[in-house]
Amino acid sequence: MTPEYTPFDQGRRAQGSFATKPTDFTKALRTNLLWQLVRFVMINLKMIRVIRKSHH
Amino acid sequence: MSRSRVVILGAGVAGHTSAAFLKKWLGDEAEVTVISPRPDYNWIPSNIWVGVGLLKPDQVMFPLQPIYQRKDITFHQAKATVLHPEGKDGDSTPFVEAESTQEGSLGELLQIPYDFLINATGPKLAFEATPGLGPKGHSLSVCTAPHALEAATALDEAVARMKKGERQRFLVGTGHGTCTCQGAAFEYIVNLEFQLRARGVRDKADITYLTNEFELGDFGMGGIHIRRGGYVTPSNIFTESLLAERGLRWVTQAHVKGLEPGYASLEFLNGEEGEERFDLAMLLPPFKGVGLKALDRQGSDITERLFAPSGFMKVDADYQTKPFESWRASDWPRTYQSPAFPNIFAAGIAFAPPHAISRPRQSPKGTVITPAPPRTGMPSAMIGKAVARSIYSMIWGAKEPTNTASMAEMGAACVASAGSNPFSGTAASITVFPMVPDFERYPEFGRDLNHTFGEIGLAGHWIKILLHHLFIYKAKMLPFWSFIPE
Repeated sequence: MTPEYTPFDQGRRAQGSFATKPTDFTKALRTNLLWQLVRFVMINLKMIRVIRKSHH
Repeated sequence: MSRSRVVILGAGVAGHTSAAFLKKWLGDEAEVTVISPRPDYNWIPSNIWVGVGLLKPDQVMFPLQPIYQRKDITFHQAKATVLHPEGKDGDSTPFVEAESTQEGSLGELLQIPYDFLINATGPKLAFEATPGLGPKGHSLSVCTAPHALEAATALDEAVARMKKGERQRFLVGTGHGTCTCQGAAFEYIVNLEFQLRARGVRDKADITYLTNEFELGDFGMGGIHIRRGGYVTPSNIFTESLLAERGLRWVTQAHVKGLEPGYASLEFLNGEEGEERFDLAMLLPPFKGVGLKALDRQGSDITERLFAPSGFMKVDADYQTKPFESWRASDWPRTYQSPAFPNIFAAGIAFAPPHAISRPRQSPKGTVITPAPPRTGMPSAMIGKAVARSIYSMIWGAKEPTNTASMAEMGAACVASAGSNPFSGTAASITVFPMVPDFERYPEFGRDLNHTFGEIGLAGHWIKILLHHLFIYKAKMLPFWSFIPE
């Protein structure tokens, strides 16, 4: 639904003020090359598992 | 054995996959024919990047004719119009009537006989469902590569205005209460925001996500739950977080009643009405069947026997109307065989789903504001392959389809781009199992949490790039193409 307050209000009344937000550490990990290389392998493995489970 | 004729309507993910595997398995034993109104294959998931100006249309499209010629698949650039599953008059050979869309023979009528038919036409983009919606109206789309190119051009113009100091309002989302493909709209809005930052004009943009979802993160699948940080967390938390982090506003539970230049009038689930103003709007249309007709041998209309009122083809699903609480995973089709004609199948978006996946809702005025079920690339390709294998078996004597690909028994892996850059880009990598929740097998969340997962990061972007190249390679049927999974 449309929020009651002015859409682009900033601060405590803004629409996203109750949303979960990532910490700086989480944001840094998202583009950390070493960590993302590890995640690249892990995510691919997870996807392959789902693909294999889906083929009959 | 006489050479079997398999005709496939449509050359999208499902149709092209079926054609490729049928030819691979059957070789010269069958004549495989593809009928598609467009001369090109379009890898639709990458249209998002065309829509923000990062790719050109020829990077997501390629001509089909040379590939089909190389693989000995017959190709007609034509639009199928009428099915004659019982033949005509004294001849019981079933055939398809199609109208050429090729320059030089435009409008010419073709009659193509078949032993087996796969309807993989994909959807009709029903822009007309909302007055003023679509590239011929007042909004843009990324559903086709040419549409996406128009969106990119409009974005360039908006950026030029912002560079002159003008403020611009962007409205991205769904253009009707029954739309599907919220994932594509979501990808577009986060990529748009990323591009505006990259072009140094983010501070001049007000960006709103407009959706028919009851809550963010529904995506037409009733949302998903994943394990994260010691909790089982619903997808609306992550989706809301992604928008909030980027300073994007959202409007949910909305049906677009109509668009005027720079203005969208809305109806909400609670019956209230509202409006959104915009300088650039990218709003997806609802999908319908392409409007194929069917005639019996005497020429009487039997369209209702083969097709649901939506225009999608009826298959082996349970189409009995029942309340949400009574929906079952077993309602969903497994073989995609037409109950009316056993030699006809539907694959990909062309089959009629038994019902939505998300809980159905309507406004006090009776306007349905519920996402339709998504049928993305992976399930479409898996359905296309399963149907092809069943037809292969039936050509070799099987009485019934041998292969299944129920969306309630298969998972989906999806990578949603959230910004394209090899070092600073990100994408949400998501796996869901099964795609249609099965509350009998997984009573609490409907899905197997060991195989349902989501994560955002640069690795997802690399996977998205990898998939773009792999799937275009596969679609071009280059060496070892069949080793690439669907």
